[in-house]
Amino acid sequence: MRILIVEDEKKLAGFIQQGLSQAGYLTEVCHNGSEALEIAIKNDFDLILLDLMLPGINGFDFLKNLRTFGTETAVIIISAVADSKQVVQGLDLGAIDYIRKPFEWDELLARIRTVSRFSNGSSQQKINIEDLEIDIPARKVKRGNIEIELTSKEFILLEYLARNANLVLTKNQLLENAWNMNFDPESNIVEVYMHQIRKKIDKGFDNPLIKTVIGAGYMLKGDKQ
Amino acid sequence: MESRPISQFYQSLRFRFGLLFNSLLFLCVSVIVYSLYKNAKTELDKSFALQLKSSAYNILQRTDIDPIALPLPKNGEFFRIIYDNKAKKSPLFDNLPKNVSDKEKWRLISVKKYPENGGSISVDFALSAEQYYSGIQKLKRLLYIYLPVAFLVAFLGGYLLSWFFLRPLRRIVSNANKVDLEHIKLLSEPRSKDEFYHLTDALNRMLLRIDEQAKQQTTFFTMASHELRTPISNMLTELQVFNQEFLDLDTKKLLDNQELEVKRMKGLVDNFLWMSQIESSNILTRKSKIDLAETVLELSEGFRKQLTINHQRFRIDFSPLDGDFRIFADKNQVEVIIKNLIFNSIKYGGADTTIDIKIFQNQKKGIIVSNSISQIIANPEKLKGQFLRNSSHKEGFGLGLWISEILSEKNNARLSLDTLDKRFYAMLEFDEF
Repeated sequence: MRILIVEDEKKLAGFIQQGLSQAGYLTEVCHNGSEALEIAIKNDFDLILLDLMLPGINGFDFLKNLRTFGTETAVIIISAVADSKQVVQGLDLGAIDYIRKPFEWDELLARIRTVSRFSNGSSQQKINIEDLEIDIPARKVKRGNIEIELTSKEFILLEYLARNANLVLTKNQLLENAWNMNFDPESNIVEVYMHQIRKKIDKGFDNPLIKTVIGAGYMLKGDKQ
Repeated sequence: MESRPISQFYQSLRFRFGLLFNSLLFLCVSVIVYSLYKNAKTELDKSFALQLKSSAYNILQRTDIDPIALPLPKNGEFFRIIYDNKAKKSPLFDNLPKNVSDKEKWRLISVKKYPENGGSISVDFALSAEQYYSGIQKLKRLLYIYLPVAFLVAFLGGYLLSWFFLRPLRRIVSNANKVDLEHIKLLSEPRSKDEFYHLTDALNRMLLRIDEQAKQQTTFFTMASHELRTPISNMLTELQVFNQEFLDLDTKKLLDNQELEVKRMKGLVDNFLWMSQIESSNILTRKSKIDLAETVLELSEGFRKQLTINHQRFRIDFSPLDGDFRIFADKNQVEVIIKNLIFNSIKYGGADTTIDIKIFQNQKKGIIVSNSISQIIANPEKLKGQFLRNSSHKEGFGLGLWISEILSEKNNARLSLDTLDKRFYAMLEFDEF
C-alpha cells in the first residue's frame, strides 16, 4: 500500500514515515501543499495523510483541487486544529477520516488498516448473501433494493459476519474484531450492536439473516452468491 | 443560546413613555382646566347676579304707592313688596316660596326706592338657583370626568400607536437576537434617518468590532492550538514509533513512562486552551446528531494503554438494549466532557478495578461513569469548581470537571456528581435529542 504523507512539520513527517515503513507501508513525504498536489495527481497512491496548515496551498484547497482533477485517492486529515467546523469541512470535501494531533500511533495504524481493507486490490470488493449486498470499497449496504445506512462499527461487524457467513461467531470474537479492547465480559456492547444491525438488516424482511445461537454467539446465515 | 429575558408590559418603553407623557399632559391640562373652570364659574355667577338684579329693579320700577301700582309676577318670578312709611311696614305683595332662605335652591336680592310722598318701597326678588347649579355641575362633570377618560383614551391610543411606530426597534431587536459569533450579519438599516437609523448604525459598527475581535481570537486559538500541539505530536509519535521496534524491557518501560508524561502534558495543554477559550467567551457550539454509543466506545479505545497499565477494565452497559442513543450536541465538546469523566474515573479508580460506563435512554439520554473510591468525598458537586481537586496528590489542575460543566451547559446537558457506597458517579444528561 502506497501512502503520501503531506506534513509541513519535518520531524513529525519523518517519524510517521519511519513508523509506517516499519509497519510495511511504502511512503513518500511532501512538506508543501502545492507540491503535494502535483505528486498526488501524477502518482497512484492508495492513501494520503494530510495536514491542514500547510505552506503553498492549505489542506482544504488541496482536497478541493485533488477532487477537481478527478483523483479519488482516500484522504485522512491529521491536524492539530480541534474545531469541529474544520472536521466537518474536511469530511465534506471528501476526506474519509479525521485524526486530531497529537494522535495515538495505534489509532493511526488502525485507521490505515481500515482504508487498506476498503481500497482497490483488497481481497473482495462485494459480498452478497441472499439479497444482502455489502459494497466494501463504497461502504454501502443494500438489502433487496433498499439502501441501508450503518455506522462505521455496525459496518465492521456486519462485514465480519458476512466474511464468516454460516459460521457461529462468539461475542468475544466480534468484540475483538470491532473494538480491539478488553472489555469486561458483563458489557452488553455486542448485544446492542447486533440489535441495531438486526433492526436495519432484517426488520421488514421475511427471511431474517442474522441468527442468535443461544450460548454460543451470532451467525449470518444464507447462501453466498 | 441563552434564554431571552421576558418583560412585563409595564416594563416596556411604550408603556413608560406613554405614562410619562400622558401624566405631564394631564398635569398641564388639569391646571388649565381648573383655571378655566374658575373663570367660567365666576362669569356664570356674575351673569346670574346681573339677571337677578335687573329683574328686581324692573319690579321695583313698576311699583308705585300713590296711586298703588303693583306688577304681576310672570312665570318663574317670585318676589315680595313691602311699603315702609316709617311707622309701619305693610306687605303689598308676597309670593316668595317658604324655603327661599335655602341658598342651594334660591338666590335672593333686596332693592329699595324712596317715593316722593315719603317712606320706602323694598322688593325682595328671588330666582331659582337650580338651573345655575345644574349648569355648574355640568361644567364640573365635563371637566373632571371627561378629562381623565380622555387621558385614558389618549394613553391607550398612544400605547397602541407606538406599537406601530416602534416596529423598526422590534426589527432591530429581532435581528440582533439572531446574531452570534459564528454568524455575524449586519442589521438592515431603516430607510428614514431617524434615531432608529443611528441606533442600527451604532450596533452595526459594534458588530463589526466584535466580528473583528472574534476572528482575531479564533485565529489566536487556532495558532496556539497548532503551536502547542505540534511539539507534543512530535514527541508522542516519536516515542510510539520507537516503541514499535524490538526493544529490551527496560527501554520499553522507559518509553511507556515518557509516553504517559507526554500525554499528561497534552491533557494540560488541552485544558489550558479550553480555559482560555471559556474565559474569552470564544466557544462556538455547532450541534448535530451524534450517536452517544459510538462516541463513548470510540473514546474508550483511546484509554486502552492506561487501562492496561492500571489493570483496569471498562464494563459498558447500554440501557435499554434497543435504545436510541442519538443526541443533538457539539461532537467535539461532548467528546471533551466524556474524555474528562473517563479520565477521572481511571485516575481515581485505583488498580484492579472496573470502570462502569452506562449509556441510558429514559425520558432523557445520557451517560453515567462510575468508579470505586478509597476515600469519602464530602461534597462531590464542589469538584466542578475551577481549580478544585479531590486530591492534591493526583496530577492535574482541577480544570477538567469545570470545563466539562461549562461545555455541558453549552449543550443543554446537566452534569451531576455523587458518591454512594464507596463509588463515585458522574452523570451527564442531555435534554436535546
